[in-house]
Amino acid sequence: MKRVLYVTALSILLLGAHVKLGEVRAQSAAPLAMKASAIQVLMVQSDEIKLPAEFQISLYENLIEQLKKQGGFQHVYREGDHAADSETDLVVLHSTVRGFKKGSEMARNVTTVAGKTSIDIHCQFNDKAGKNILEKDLNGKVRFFGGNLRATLDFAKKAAKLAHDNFVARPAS
Amino acid sequence: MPLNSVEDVVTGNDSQRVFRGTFGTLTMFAPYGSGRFLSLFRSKLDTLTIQYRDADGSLHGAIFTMGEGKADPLKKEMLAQGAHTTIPQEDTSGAKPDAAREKKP
Repeated sequence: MKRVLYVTALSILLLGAHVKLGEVRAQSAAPLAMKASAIQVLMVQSDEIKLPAEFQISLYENLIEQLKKQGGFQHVYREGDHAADSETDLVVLHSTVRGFKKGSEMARNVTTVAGKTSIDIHCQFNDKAGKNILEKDLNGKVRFFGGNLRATLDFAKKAAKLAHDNFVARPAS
Repeated sequence: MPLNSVEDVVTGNDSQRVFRGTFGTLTMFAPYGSGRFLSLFRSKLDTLTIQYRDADGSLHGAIFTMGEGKADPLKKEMLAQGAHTTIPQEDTSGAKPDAAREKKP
């Protein structure tokens, strides 16, 4: 009886690992949406959700910083930068806040399980003509260490990785 | 940076741990949950968030933190010198209505 249980448990584990591996392969084999040498980041919009100004600015600045840090793009332009007009293969990132839950750093430190801060953002990548190339919902959160604004850094890292994976031309190997 | 290029000045308030940095991190491993207890000691601070454009028209943002009660006078001074805001300066002479208060992050 024990042996049957062990075999069943092992089968479930192997099946789970196989499914996860398949997902990872599918993600890595996703087709390149478009190659772009430059990206322009627009200010994060929060019309529906009331987002504090410091979160909005922090999201915007962290996005630019992380896109520069990830590398791959020759230029990372800010909103309103006229130099972006001369770029031929430009991708424009529009971000809209869809959800925001402000946690508490003190609650996180004291209880570990409570006080999570999370931000849900809809990211839309357009080409220079305004045509939608890619859109995805991403979120940023802080569960344990750090202040509430750290959630914006978490989001920025994910968004920068998404942009890098989809628009940066990889050298042929 | 010319102050008339500042498009928005917003104040807010926040708090931070009194014991922070490396020492603050080490207190998390203190025995008998004393690190968690120390997390309860917090100092209040004000935040001043500005949004401005540079000479090229690029949009920038910055968040400053300062001691409690220092952000509002600074905002007032910036507005007097030509900065703009989406949240007008409140009249501090009378009682502040709760609805007009800025939310802290």
